Amino acid sequence: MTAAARRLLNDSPAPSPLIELTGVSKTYGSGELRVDALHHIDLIAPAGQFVVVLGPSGSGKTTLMNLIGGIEPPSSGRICVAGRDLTSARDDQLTEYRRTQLGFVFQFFNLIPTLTALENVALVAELVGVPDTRAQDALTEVGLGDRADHFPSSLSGGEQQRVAIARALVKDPSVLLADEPTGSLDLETGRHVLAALHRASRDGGRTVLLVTHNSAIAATADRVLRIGSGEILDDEMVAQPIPPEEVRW
Amino acid sequence: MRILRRALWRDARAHAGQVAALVVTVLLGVALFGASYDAFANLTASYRGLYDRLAMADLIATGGPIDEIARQGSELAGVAEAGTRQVGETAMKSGSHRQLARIVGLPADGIPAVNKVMVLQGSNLDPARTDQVLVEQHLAGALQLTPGATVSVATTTGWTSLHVVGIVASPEYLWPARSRQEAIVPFDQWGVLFANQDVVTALAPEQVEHQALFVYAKDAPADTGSRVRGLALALGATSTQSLAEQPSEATLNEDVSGFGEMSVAFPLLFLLAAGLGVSVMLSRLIAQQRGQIGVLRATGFTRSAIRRHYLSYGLLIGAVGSVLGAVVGGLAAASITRIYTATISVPVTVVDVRPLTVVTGLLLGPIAGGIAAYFPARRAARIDPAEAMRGDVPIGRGRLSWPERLLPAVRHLPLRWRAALRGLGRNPRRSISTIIGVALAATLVLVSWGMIDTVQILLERQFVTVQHQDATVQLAQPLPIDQLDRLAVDGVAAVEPQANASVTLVHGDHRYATTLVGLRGDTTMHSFLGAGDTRLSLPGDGGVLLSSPLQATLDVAVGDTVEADTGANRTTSLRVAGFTNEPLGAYGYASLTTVFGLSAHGAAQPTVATALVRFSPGADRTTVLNRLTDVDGVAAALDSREFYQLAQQFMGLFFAFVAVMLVLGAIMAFALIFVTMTTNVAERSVELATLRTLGMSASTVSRLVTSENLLLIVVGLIPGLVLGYVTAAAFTASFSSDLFRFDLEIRPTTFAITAAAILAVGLISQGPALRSIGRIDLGRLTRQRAS
Repeated sequence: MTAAARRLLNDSPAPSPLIELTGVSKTYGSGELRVDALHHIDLIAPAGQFVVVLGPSGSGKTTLMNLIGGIEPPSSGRICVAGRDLTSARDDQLTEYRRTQLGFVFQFFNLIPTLTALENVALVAELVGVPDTRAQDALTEVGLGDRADHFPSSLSGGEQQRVAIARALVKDPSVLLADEPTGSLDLETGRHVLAALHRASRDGGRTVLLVTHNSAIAATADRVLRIGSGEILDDEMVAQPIPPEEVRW
Repeated sequence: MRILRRALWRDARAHAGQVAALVVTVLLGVALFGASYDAFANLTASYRGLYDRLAMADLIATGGPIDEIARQGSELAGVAEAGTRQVGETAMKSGSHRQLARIVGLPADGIPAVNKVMVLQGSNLDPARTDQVLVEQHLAGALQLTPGATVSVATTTGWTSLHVVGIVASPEYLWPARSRQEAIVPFDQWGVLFANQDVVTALAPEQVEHQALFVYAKDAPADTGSRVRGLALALGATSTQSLAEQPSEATLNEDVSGFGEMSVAFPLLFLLAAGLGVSVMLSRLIAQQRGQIGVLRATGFTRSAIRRHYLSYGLLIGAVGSVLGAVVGGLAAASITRIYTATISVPVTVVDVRPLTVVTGLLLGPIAGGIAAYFPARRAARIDPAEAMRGDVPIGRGRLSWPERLLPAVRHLPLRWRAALRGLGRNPRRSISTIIGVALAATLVLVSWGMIDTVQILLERQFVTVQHQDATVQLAQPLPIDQLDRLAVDGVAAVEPQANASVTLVHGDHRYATTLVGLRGDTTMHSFLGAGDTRLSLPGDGGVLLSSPLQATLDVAVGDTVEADTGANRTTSLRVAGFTNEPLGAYGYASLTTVFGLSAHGAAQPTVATALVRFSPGADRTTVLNRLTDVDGVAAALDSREFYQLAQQFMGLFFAFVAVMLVLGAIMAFALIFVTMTTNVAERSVELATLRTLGMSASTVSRLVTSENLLLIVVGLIPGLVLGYVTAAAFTASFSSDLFRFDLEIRPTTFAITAAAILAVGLISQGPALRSIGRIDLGRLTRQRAS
């Protein structure tokens, strides 16, 4: 752990933890088919932190994201996010948690093809009960105010991903989970998307957890978690994150 | 290729629910074909076999010099047999029960050359005796008559006792219809007896018809019928009746031909539904396997190999469904034939397995499945391997729905509703398949239910709106009108005379033998309804109202003149005053004076043999009927309600038919909606998982999908109800004749019930798809590309 990280975690006054995992393990299958996806993970992430989770395929990084996202329950251990204990939450409570606290950004955008950019965002606004005007604002925030009436099929990959970010931001979540958000984008488009995510973290004080196998992106983060074989191999604070516009891969 | 076949089986197992639903739909289509076609063929063979065995007449000529007509007719080319007989109508008694009977005269040995009878119980007539009688099986069943019983018939000398020696089946009374006008008669109000000619001779002459009968040779020239008919009419016969026009044959033929029509229409419906399902399922499978197809193509599989592979899904489903359907159809055909012949007491039942039906059935499924699979398979073969292997799936094109484009106000609906509207257009092929499936199911239900409505409404029209008498009293001897007061017994509110004259109506070259019914001009026993239910009045002297089927049969219009031929070279001109819209029979209606004028005695001595009676409100029907029967000179008092009840009893068969059709319609709708809905959810699993991940509850996602599905069903219902109405109208029209007039009548509630039933089936059939929403693996699916 770097000095900066130690200072952030141990020196007073420590910011209150937004995400807290204690001894979390996740196992799939049983017997000979048993797979330990995550093994005894401890993690604390405060509000406003931009965390990049790095690891190769099968390392457990997506499982970690799914657990924090309330998509899957842990096999053991305890997960608390924004003061909620997800470990024993019922399905409807997890749904409500995802609706109010989390924003998801997926590698393949997952926009609804029959809705326009604005409607994709407005659908979530309608879901959480925020005014429709927030949907237009969210699109403007990601630089797509003039593409509101376009359907996904007429948007580029980067634009679609920014619509996805706007969709995640419209409900003003405290945590943003991004799974390989630049995985299917070229460098220039990827930079735009990264910048949008950073703005979401910086301006909104949100914790962003970005899962990727692209180590170049780690240089833009406040903190980098390296995962391998279901364990956190390294937890490093980045002293001088570079602006997203300067990242190269 | 062996490996590809293995993949096919595994895919089939992976989509077991959908495959099973489609196999069942094919099975039903093929089974319906086999069952209805073979039932049609079996019943036809049963009737024809009996006709051949008992020398059923191909033509009956009534009136005129029948011996001469028979003699000259027998010399015509193509005529194999000819004979003569006398047939009379009179009253009969069995114990205290009285009713009407037709007595068919037989030669002394009881074995005529034409229209023989089959003795089912007891023996034939003893040539040495004239006091014996054979009882037609339906009458015997209704009165529980067996050999050894005694019945009496009214003759000119009073009641004559006859000993029942046998119970018989007759080819001309397989369906015991009194005439083409009276196809439905309660067996305990009218029946058929076969007796020595001498018994018929003892009846009043005006109650007896003289007939010449002809049977054609197997290889008779095609014009034999017209030559015999022409000869008979030229020699003085008043009317002729071909086998096709014979009341029993015509009634049965209408019923049996229904099976023939079903054997084409219903299988087509089911196979079309199965084909749509195969197409939807296969399109989804191919979209899912784009990557695999790309790899196969890249590793050297030809386009035709890919096409054959996906084509084999349709062939497999069709083949499995066909084999099962052929077996079920064969068994069902045998059962239907046996039940049907047992219900109407046909003494000979032919049940054959027809190789052509089996082979056709076996081919129907693979043909339907193959055609349905061909187009998706062709699309699969055309997939670009490079593009497919990259995993690039073009994102579905979004656009405003038609309602949003046409009605800007729709754009202000909640987003979820607009999303549901646009969902209809996202996969047009699937949406159209669902809509067609719903429309077919609605058609099936509406046609079946529409038949029930029609028959119920028409029966009510005939027995409530048109006829108002509670009983028809048959007198042993005709009485002057002013002596009918004797029928005004306690419980009777009104009595009216009815004069019946057997006539052949002639207009140009058109002839129709019927009954001219004479009623009082101010009759309260009968309402005459014209087109659009307008009330018509009975015309004055010399005028006639005709049942509407006669308009076409005689090619007449209002104002035309028709000739009423009563035989013995006596004809009277009648002016057509209008056409009555009545469901049962085809009569002429005229004033009493007009009908009296037809007889040789003219109107000078007006007597009637029939009276119509209406009961006082609250009177006990049985008591009043007994009082009427006890009146001196009354042969029988026939309860009008029994006709209505008998007609309604026959509705039982309709209900059974409709129940089967409703179940089949529900299965078809379930199968197709199930396949399209599960495909819909499978196709959108990533999208639905995304919505769940974004915080939409499973129930909200389910409601979203449900509203889209219901919208599709509603869209399908609109053409379905229209198509159902049109089909039902065509179906009922095909049954319309001078025997029964079927004008389609569907109650508004039937439309509502049909729509509700289809919606309910739709809701149930999407159950498995909705349950799968709750089981969506959010983590895995949100990392996949949507397709």
